[in-house]
Amino acid sequence: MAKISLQDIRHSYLSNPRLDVDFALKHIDIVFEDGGAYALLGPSGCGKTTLLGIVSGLVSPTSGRVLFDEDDVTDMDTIHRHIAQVFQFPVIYDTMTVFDNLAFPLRNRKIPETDVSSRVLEVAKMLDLEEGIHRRAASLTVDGKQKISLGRGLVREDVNVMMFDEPLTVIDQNMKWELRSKLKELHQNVRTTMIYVTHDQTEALTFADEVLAFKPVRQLPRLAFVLNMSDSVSRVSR
Amino acid sequence: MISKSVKQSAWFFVIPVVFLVAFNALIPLMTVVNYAFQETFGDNVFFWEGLTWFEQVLNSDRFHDAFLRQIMFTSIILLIEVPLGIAIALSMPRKGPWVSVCLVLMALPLLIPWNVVGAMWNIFALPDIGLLGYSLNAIGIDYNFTQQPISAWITTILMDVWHWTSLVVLLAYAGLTAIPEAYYQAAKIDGASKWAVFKWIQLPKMKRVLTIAILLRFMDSFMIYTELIVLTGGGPGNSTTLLSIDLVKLALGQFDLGPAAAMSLVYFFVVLLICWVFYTLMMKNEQQ
Amino acid sequence: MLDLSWMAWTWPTAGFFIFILLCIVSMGIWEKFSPGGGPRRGVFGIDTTRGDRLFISLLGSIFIFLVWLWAFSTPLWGAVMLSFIWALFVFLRV
Repeated sequence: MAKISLQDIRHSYLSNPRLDVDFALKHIDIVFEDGGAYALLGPSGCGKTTLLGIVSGLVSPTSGRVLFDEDDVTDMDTIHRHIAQVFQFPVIYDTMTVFDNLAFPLRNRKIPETDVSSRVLEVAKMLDLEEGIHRRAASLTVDGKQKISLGRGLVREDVNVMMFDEPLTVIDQNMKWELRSKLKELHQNVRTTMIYVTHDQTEALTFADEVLAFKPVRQLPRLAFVLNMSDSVSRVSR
Repeated sequence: MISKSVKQSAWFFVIPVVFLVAFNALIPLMTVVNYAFQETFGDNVFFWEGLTWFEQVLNSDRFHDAFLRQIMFTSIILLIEVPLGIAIALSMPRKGPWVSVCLVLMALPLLIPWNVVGAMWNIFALPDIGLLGYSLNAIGIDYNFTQQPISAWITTILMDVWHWTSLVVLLAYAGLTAIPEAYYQAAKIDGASKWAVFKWIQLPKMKRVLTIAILLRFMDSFMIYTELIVLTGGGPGNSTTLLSIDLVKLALGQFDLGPAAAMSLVYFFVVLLICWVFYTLMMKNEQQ
Repeated sequence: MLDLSWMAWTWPTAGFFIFILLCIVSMGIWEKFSPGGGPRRGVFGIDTTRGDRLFISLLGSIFIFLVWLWAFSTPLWGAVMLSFIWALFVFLRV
């Protein structure tokens, strides 16, 4: 668990950015407090996913610093940042059982098998995945699969932050509500910092303690949305 | 319940395929079955022979030998081409300007006419003037594919690998590029090693295209004729006489249409059986 | 008149193809009056529909005939019997 600070982050997908419009993220200064539930709200293409990538280390920013507590992790690779991320579409390992899917992140980190199995069973219980835990993960419905993606983040005890990138996009309307309350409940139990990206206001407001709204500042002929985040991120606190 | 409206006119669109399959597969197959039970000396005059040709083929050492050689050849090229193809596909760039360069390079061997492939390798491997043959002999390796069965086999396999690995590469590459980026990112977050990514993401996602690749290579390897007849002509002796070469020798060389028809039916059924078993096993766990 | 003499039709071989055709047609009629439904899991652990089972029966029968011919030569009545038993087994258990 950690406080996450983004200091003066700029990011461009071009190799040699010069103009302001070359930047997907122009100027970000945000602090995510330890244990908070945050939502990043904004239209598609405004840089929310890029921002998550910068926190997780999948994207390295053009300039600026990422701090976990007081440690500079800007150049640290993903695995050492101890983060978890749930993607828009469920990512599961088709040929593994549900159990092996959940155990995968632990086994990769060489955790003893007895601890692995107790931890996996605990998480499976939390997510109502106990039934059919030894069946192949590919046989689950899409919300079950998304729960597995979520579970792979929950099994690890050293997670600094859990990030959700529009995780309910492919979920049925009625399951959406259930999963959302499940997430909320999980946050109350585990108290990990959670960052939730969405373009749905209801989702953002029901999940988060604090909503960061991204607005596109101006429209350009070819790039759909370019955002100057330093003056367009508005905070809504409850 | 909503009743589905069935448009009978859709059948109309199937007609071209029906004709194509009839002329391309059904009529030739029926003719082969007819020939397999009869003897002919030309002029469309036929004599009923019953099961003579089948008995003859099933008990013929010549057929057994050609069949064993064929199985050996097919196994060797599959064992080389499939892993090699996957390895090359994995090392190809996923994006950038080099993608098209690599794809074109890979597709080149597939575009060369088969008899040209045979001729190229024949000249390439000739011990007195060919680059490969001459260099091997120059460094002291006794190599002569027109005299030594082992050399002939190695040359044949090299030629097939050169010619057809690209097919496996292209199919495997197509499978690889279809994997969403999120899988690799999730694997990174889960701390998966390169081997784990291959085993649990790339290989399972490539399973379908690899099944197709293996089936195609399996069936096509039974059909290898043109390249091989130009390269070795089935020799030295009968050492590289695979099924298709033997079949043509029998049917056209000796004009034994009946035995040749019976032989082609027997090996058609073997190919059909193996393909069916393989496909069923590969797809067994798909729908659970 | 279209000259088809090169196809060398004989009654026994035509009979063979008519038999296959009848099999397929009667499968269609059977399906129309009593639909077989989706695939089921049989003794070999593979999912088969009725059509698959016909295919397995026929392909299996061919190999029964070939092996019989190789081992015992003609007559083939034994192979015919075995093929019927095989087909029955496939339709009931596979």
